[in-house]
Amino acid sequence: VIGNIVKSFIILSFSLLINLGSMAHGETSVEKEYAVKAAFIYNIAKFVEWPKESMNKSETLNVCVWGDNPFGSSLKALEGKDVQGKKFVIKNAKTVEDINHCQIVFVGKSEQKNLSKILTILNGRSVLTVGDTEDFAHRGGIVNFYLENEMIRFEINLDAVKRAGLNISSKLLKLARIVTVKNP
Amino acid sequence: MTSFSFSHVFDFRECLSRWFLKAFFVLTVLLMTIFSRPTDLIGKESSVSEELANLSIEELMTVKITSVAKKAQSLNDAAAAVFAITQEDIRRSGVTSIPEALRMVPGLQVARIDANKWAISARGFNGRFANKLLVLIDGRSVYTPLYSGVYWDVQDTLLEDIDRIEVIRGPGAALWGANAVNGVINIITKHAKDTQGGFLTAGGGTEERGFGSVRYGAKHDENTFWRVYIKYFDRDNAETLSGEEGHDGWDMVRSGFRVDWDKPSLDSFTFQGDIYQGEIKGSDTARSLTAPYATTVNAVNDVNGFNFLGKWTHITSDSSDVRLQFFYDRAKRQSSILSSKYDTLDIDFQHHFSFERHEIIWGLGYRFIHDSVGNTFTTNLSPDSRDDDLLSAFVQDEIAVVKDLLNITVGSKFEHNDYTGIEIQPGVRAICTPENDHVFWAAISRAVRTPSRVEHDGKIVSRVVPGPIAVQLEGNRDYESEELISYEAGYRVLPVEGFSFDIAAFSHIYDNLRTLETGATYLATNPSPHFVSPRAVQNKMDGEAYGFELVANWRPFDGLLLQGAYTYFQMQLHLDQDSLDTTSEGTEGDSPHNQVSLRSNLDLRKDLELDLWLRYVDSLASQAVGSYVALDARLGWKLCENVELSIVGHNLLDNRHPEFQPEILEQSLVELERSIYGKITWKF
Repeated sequence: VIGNIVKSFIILSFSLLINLGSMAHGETSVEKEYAVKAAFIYNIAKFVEWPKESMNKSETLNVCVWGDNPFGSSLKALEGKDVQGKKFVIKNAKTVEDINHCQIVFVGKSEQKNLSKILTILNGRSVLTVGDTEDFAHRGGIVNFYLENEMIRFEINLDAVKRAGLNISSKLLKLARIVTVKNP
Repeated sequence: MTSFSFSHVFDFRECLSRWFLKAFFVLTVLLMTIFSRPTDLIGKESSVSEELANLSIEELMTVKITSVAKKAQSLNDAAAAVFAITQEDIRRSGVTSIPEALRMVPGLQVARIDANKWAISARGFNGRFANKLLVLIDGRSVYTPLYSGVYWDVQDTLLEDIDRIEVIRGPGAALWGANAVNGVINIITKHAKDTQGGFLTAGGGTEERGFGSVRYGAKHDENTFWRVYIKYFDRDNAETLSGEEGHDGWDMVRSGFRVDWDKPSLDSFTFQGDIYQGEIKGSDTARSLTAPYATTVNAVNDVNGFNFLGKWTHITSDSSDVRLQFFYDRAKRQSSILSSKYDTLDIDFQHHFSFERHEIIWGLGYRFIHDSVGNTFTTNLSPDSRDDDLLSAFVQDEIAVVKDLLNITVGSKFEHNDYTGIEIQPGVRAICTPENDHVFWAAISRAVRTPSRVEHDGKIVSRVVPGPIAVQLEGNRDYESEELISYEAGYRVLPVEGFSFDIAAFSHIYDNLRTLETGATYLATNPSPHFVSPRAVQNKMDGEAYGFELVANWRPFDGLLLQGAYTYFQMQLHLDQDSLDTTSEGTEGDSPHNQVSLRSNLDLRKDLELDLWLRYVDSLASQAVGSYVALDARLGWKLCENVELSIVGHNLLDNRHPEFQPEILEQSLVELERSIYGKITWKF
């Protein structure tokens, strides 16, 4: 009898789950987190100055997502918006060739294991690297998101900014936690 | 004020009519939700993204990303078996009392003896007078020195004002001191800032015959918030084995307040208090030296009490703060067997600071307890009034041995009590976090359970046989503390977002456990000549307990939470060779070997919740209590923003079942019936 009850309880829970999963409204916390991060990337781009040679070449401001795209459609939804007179364009990057035309590269959690390799490849390029893994900025990334009291904050590695030849507005720096790396 | 409440009555009517309109379209809406989803979501998503993108960076930095997993993660810092019952858990389980909420905690044994009595313990030694569990409400110890246990019937507050209940299984003695042997329960109520506005709830049903509560909270100035509440309930009798109405119904009225004053970033003050009065039906069995030697009367016993608590926290620097807390508690119980009155005054100081790799907490405490009891032939304490002092000090150092990887905590409590003198209760705990989402911990600790007033000074006649011979439990001035050495380890993991898993295993080694030793029969003259066959309280038993506890939480999507908990428990007790005890070994059979709890909290729609809770509890080997499966269900309907209706069914799978044997011999098993109640909640 107990077995049957437990079984039917489990079946009930799961069938409800399957049937109603499609009915769930609203966004999960993860979806919301990345929707906010997408908005951050768009806004941060307004405060960054790229070297003329890397910028003049393209009509668009290209944001490349390396590896798995954690944003769902929330980053794509911002495509076509205006940033510094250029169109915001979202691309996926899987190989080194893919990032040749990117001004911003987002390296997500899926790439944590390859992070050192990716950052070495990007080192010296005029690319704003953005990540959301704990030691992203410490390991040479430029902008890193972190959570504090359930709110998104970001940190900036100034050495990495310099190496990339970028200029970041003091307005943005004031809002960021500054990361300094003793032994880069 | 009048116009204020009037407008809300109007809101309520408007809300009702809106609901009727809604009712016609329920099916349509349901179908629409399913079929229109794809386009709907894409449209919504892009507009949300657009909205967010239009915010400034400063504004984006204030957007809250609420994540249940992250909140639970803060518990991951503890090198102990910790479980937290949240306000949401309480609301959605449909429980009407704190003891009932505790059933969802793995490693706890919760059994309802009758309508107004519970047996609650952690990791064994369960019973109404279970004495190895420490319970605190907002830092106020509610454990009674009379029998070193908790009167659960008077531990209550407005359930909606509870922020969370933190339960630690295993010894917490290094921090909390004696009697935190097998577990600590911390009931934490909300800050007054979080209970602003009005709140009204009312309902009734078959066992919950009627209940209601009102709370009102407001802001005095920028930094000062307060609330007051009053609640009442009337609960029905349980049923006897023969299917007759028992005599254990009860009602209680309780009122309380809380004021919080937070001086920005430096000081915070809390002042709170409660007062209660209840009438509890019970069967009192009085012993006498003449036939029939025992008379059981149906009595209505008064319980009442009040308490005040003040707390001051001062932040002295970035890495240091001090806390000063005092409380006063009065608890009075009247009964034809034993009346008691307890006054407790407690002052507690704590200082927390950190330097380099160390995080140190130390503290001092003083507690004064005055009691007086009304003696009868059946139950007698000598002296009948006592003043006791309890002095305590503790120090704990959490050392970051390898930063972000390995933390070791060493600490000890030092106490002086009037029964056994100095008690030292040290502990060492280690926590290892190889990755953010993986935590391993282990602990070794010592804890003691100090003698209760009854074990020290009491004489309780458990039965009288023709002679007349009184079989009498006798307190012992040389009775020592019971001791525990505990070995624990656990692992917590969040393998993927929305899923968490927690396992804790333990081995507890007990020594000096209480036995009741049969002594030589002697002649007593008071109140008339009779023989006494004494059962003297001594420490002639040792034993071991082991087991493990599992919890898994899964949130497949935002509207569904599944929680499963499993408890495995074993205990073996061994009498010393020279022990003449015949009953105490049976304690090992008072706790079930296996327990399962499965909960499902589902949002059918934004305004409709369906919550199911299935429990399996194994049989009790030493009692005539078989295993049982119980199902609770709750359907909650948010009529509009401020009004919620719910229907809750408890114990739906059987007409009635027993859960625990009463500890007074003459009292027979009572069965808990299937019950249902309805409730309306209105926020204004």
